[in-house]
Amino acid sequence: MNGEHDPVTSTVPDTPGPAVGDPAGDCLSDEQLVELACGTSSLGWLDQAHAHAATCTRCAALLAEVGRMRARESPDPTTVDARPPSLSLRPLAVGDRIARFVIEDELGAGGMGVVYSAYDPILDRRLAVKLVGDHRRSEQARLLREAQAMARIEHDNVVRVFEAGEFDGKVFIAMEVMEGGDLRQWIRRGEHSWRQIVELFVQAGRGLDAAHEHGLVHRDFKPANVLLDGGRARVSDFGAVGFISGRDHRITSDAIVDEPDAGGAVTTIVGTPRYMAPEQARGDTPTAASDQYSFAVSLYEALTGQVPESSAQCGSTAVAGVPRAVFRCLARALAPDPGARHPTMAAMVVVLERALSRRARRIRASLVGGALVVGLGLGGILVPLPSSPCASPEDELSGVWDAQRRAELQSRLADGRQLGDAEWSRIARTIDDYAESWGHIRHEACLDTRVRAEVSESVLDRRMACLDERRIALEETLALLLDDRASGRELELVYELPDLSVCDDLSAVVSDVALPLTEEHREEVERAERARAQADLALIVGGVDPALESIDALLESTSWQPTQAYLLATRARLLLGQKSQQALHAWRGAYEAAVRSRDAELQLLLEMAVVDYLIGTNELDDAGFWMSVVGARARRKQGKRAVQLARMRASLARAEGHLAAARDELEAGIVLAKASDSAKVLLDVLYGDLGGVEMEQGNTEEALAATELAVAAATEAYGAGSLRALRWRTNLVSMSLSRRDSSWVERELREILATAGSLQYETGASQLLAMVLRIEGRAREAYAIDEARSDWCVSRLGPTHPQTVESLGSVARDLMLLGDTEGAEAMLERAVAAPRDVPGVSVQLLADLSYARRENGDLEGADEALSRADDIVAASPESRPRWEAALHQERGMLELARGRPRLAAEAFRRALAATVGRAPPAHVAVARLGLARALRSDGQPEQARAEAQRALAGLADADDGDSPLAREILDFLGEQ
Amino acid sequence: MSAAEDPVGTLAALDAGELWLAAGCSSGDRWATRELESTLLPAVVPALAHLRLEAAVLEDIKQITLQRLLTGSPNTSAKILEYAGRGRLRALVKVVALRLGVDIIRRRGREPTESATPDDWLVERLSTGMLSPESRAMKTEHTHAFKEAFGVAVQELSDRARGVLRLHVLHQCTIDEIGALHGVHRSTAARWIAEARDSIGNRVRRHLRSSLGLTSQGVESLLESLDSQVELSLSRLLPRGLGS
Ligand SMILES: [Zn+2]
Repeated sequence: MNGEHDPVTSTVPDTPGPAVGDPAGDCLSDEQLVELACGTSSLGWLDQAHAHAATCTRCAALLAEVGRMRARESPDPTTVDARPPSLSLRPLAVGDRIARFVIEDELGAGGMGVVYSAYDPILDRRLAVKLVGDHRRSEQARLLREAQAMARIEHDNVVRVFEAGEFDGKVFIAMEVMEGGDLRQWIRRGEHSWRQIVELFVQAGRGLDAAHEHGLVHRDFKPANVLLDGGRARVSDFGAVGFISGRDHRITSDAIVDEPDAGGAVTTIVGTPRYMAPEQARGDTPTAASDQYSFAVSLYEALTGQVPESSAQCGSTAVAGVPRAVFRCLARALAPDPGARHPTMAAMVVVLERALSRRARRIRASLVGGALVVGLGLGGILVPLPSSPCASPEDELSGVWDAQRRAELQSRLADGRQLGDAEWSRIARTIDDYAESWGHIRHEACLDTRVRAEVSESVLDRRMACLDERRIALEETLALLLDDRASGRELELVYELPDLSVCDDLSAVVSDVALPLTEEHREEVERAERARAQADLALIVGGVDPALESIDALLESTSWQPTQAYLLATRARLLLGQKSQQALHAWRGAYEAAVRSRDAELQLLLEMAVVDYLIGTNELDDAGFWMSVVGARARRKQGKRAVQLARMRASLARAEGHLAAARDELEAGIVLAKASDSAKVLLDVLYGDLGGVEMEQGNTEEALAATELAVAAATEAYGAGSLRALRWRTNLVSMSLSRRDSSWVERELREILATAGSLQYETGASQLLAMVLRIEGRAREAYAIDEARSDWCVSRLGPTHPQTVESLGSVARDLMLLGDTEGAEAMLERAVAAPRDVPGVSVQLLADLSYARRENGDLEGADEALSRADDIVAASPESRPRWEAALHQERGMLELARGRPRLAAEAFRRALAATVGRAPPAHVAVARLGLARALRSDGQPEQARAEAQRALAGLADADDGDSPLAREILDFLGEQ
Repeated sequence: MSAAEDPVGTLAALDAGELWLAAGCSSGDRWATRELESTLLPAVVPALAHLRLEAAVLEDIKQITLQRLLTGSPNTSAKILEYAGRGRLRALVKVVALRLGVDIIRRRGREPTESATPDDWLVERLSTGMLSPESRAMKTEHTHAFKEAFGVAVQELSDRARGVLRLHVLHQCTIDEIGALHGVHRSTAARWIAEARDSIGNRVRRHLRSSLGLTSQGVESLLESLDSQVELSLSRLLPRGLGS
C-alpha cells in the first residue's frame, strides 16, 4: 500500500503505543482489511501482512480479529469448534488463557480467588488477572455486574480495571499491576504529618466517590486496600474484586485476620470488623454511607493510632496540630444512623480539603494575597450542563467575544498601537472565525446528544470540556491583547489559538479529553489555562518571575493530576525559555507528570520544547535523541505540527553544521506549509531560517532572496507593520551590510523603526543602527539610541532580562568611546549584577568592566572582575579561545598598569597563543603590542622592538598597514 | 465472498440496494441513514464480541463508525460510496468498528509499557512456557541460552509460519479462524502450525547444542532433559489435535 491516507484510516487517531522503532512496511489499510474480511486477499499479500505484524501490535491484533470475524461468519458445518477445552478440571498453567489474556505466572491465591500475572496481546503489556467465583448463581451474577461496573471507572484514585467477564464459570477481572505498597504499610512506617495523612486519604476518598458515582459500594474500605504509587493513592479491592463472602475474613473481636478460614464457614457479612459500619455488622446491605463510616474509622486510626469509640468521642478528640475541623468531620461520618452522615463521600472530601487548605491558605495569602483562594463550594458535583440544552450559537460567547469586546479591542489596538486597518481587519477576522466555529461546534455537539440523541451524554461532557478549554484560551488571549503591558508582539498569539477540530472529532474526544470530575477540577483547569496564557505573555514581553511565582502557588492548590501536569509543563517551558539552570530538572519532572497522566499531546509539546532548548545550549547529542522521539511520536502529524517538526529538524541540522540538510528540511517544510491552511502562518519563519542557512553557506544572493520571501510571507499573513515582517526586513538589511553603502543602511533601518512604532525595540533594527553608527564613529548618536533602548528594556523586560543586560553593555561601549569611563563602569556594574546563566555574555561584560575599572584607576576592582570572568571560563565545559584571548589581553593590560611586566608578558603570550591562526590579524597585533610594552618595561628593549615589528608586519600583510592600530605601533617604536 | 453468500445479509443481498442506501446516506437522506443504522450497524456487536467492550462503549463505536462512513474528505466522496455496489459495505462497517475497538482498548491501557514487539512476546511466551513450572529448578544459568535459541528459531521461520504461530499462541486464534483468515481448510492451518512447531523444536535443539557445546557429558544429559522440556512446552502451548 502506498502512503496515501484514505479518509477513514487517516482520521483514526494514531496511537503512539509501545511500538519499538518502525514496524516493517505500512500499516494495514481499511481497504486491505475489507479484502481480507471478504476472503479476496492473496496468500502472498497475507505473508507481507504477517511480516508487518511481527513489529506492529495494532495490526497484529486487527489480523487476529478479522480472522475471528471470518470464521464466525462462514462456519464450516463439518468441523466442530476447536476452542480451548474447559479448564475447570485442572489448575491454570503458564500459557493457558483467560479470555484473551495469556497467563504468565501465578501471583497469589486466597480463599476464593487466584491472581495471575498475564499478557494482553491487544494492550501488549503485562497485567494482573484475578479469577474469583461463587457457587451461588445470584452472587455470581452480582459479581460480574460489579466487576463490569468497575471497568467503567477511569479515575486516578481507583486501581484501573481493564476488563471483566466470565470465564469457565468464574468471574475474571483484568487490572493494572501495582508495584508500590499499601496505605497500611505506609502508616506503620510512622512519623507522617497530619497533613500528609489527610492528603492521601482525600485521594482515597475521591476514589471511593468515583465508585459511588458508578453505583458501586466498596464494602471493605481499609488502609490495606489503598495502594500507593509514587505519592498517588488508589483504592483497590472493591466488593466484587476483592471478596466474595465473609470466608475471607474471620470475624474476631479485636484483630483483622486476612487469611482464609480453613473451616470455610459461610457468612453473608462482608467486610473487616474493625472498620465496619454498624448497619453492615448487623447484616444490612452496605451502602455508600457504610463506606464513609469505614473511611472515617481508617482516617481516625491513622491520625491517632486508635479506633474511635463513638461519634461523640471522635468529635471531642484533640491532637496537637490537627485542626479540630478534621475530627468534627470524622464524627459526622461516624454517626450510627447512616442518614446523619455526610450526604456523599464527595461532600466529606470537600470538608477535609477545606481543613487542609485553611492552613495552607494562611501561608499562601501572605505571599500572593487573596487571589488564589480555592473555590471549594461545589466539590464533587459533576459539571453542570447549561439549563437550556442548546443555546443558539451566537449567544454562547457573549461577554467573551461580542460586538462590545470587538469595539473595545479595536480602539485599543488602533489608538494605542497605530495598528493599520489591514492588520486590524486581519486580526478581527481571525477571532471572528474562531468564535463562530466554536459556537457552531458547541451547538452541534449539543444537538447531537440532546436533540438527535445520536451521541451519548458522556461524550457530550467531554466535548463540552474540550470546548471550555478553548473558550478559556480565547478569553485569555483577548485579555493579553488588552493588557497594559501589551506591545503588539502578543498579536501573534491570535494565530496560535488551540485547534477546535479536536472537539468535533468524536473518537479524539473520547480518548484524548480528560473529563474534569468536579466543579473544583474545572476551576483548576481554568486557573491553569490562565496561568499558561500569562506565561506565554511573559515569554514574549518579559515578567517571567511573577509568572513562575503564580504557577508555583497554583501547583500547591491543584489536586487534579492532568492539571498538575499541565502546570508543570508550563513552568518547564518558562524555565527552558529563560535558559535557566533549573530548566532541565523542571522539565524532567513535567515530563514524568505528562507520562503519568497519559497525555500524549503534552508529552509531544514538552519533547519539542526540550529539543529547542538543547539546540540552544548546543547539547546536540541529546537534542538529536529527543528529536527522534518527537519524530516517532508525531510521524503522522499533519499541518502545523508537521511544519514545526520540519523546522525543528532544520535547526538541529544547522546546529550540527549540516547546512545542506537544514536547507532540505526547510524546503520540505515550505512545501508542507503552502499546502496547509493552518500552517501558512509559519511560512515566513521557514523562509527566514532558510535565509540564515544560505548566509552561513556564503550564498548571499540566495540568502537575500529567501529573506525577501520571508518579508513577503509575513506581510501576507500578519501585515506589513507586524513585528515579524519588520524583523525579516531588519535581517535583510544586516545581510546587505557588505554590499550597500551606509546611507542606504541607515535610511532603511530608520524607516523600519518608524513603521514599528511601539515595537521598535523588538525588531533588532535599533541595535543594528547603533552598531552601524558606532562603526562610523558617530558614538553620540549610537549612545542616544542605545540608551533609549536600554531604558525601554529595563522598564518592560525587567533588570535581569538577557536583552536588558545586552543593552546595558551596548550603552557602556558607547560611553567608553565617548571617553566617559565612569559612566561606562556604572552601566556595567548594573549589567553584571543580573544573575544570568549565559556565560558568553557574562565574560564579555566582565572583561569590559575590568577595562572600565582599570581606566578609572581601580586596579583591585579590575582584578576582581577579571577573576570572576576567569572562573566562568574555567567552569565552561568547552574551551573557548576567543574568550580566553580577551581575558588574557585584559590581564596583561592590568598587570602592566600594576607595574608587574613579567606577569603582563606572561598573559600577553597566552593571549597570543589563543589568537594566532584563529583570530583576525588586528587581534594578533594587539596582543603582540601588549607583549612588546611588557618586554620594554621589563628592560628587554630588543625583544620589545622585534615583537612590535612583527605586529606591524602582520597588519601590513592584511592590508591594514595604516589603521589607527598600526599608527599606535609606529608611535610605540618611535618612543625609544 | 459474494454478497449472496453472506449468511447474515438481508440488505446486502442486493448490490443495488446497497448502492441506493449509500447514495441516500451520502446525500444526507435521513431515512437512508436510519436504514443504514438499523441494518448494517448491528453487525458491529458480534464483530467486536471478542473484545468484550461494554455496551455503552459499543454504542459510541457505532456512532463514530457511522460518522466515519458518512463523511468524506473535502476531495473525495464519502467512504460509503466507494464500497457500496461491490458487496463490501458490510465488511467495511465491521473493519472500521474493529479498528476503533482495538484502538479504544489500546488507548485505555496507554502508558509506558515494556518495549517489545509481538515477536519478542512470541519468543518470550515460547521460551518461558518451556521453563515453567516443571523446570524452574534448573532454569538459572541456561535461561539465556534457551531464550536465545528460541529467538533465533522464531526468526528463522517464514513470515507465514511466524504469523500463524503468533495468531495461535498470542491471540488465541483457533485453527478454524486461522484457516478462515487464509482461505484454507482447517486441516491445512493445523498442518502449518504443526510444521512450525516441529521446525522450532529442531532448531532450538540444534542451536542449544552449538551454543552449549557438544563434548561435555553434562551438557548432553542436560540437552536430553531439555528435549523433553521443549516437547512438553510446545505441546502445552500448541495443544489441540494437530496431528504429529
Ligand atoms: Zn501496523
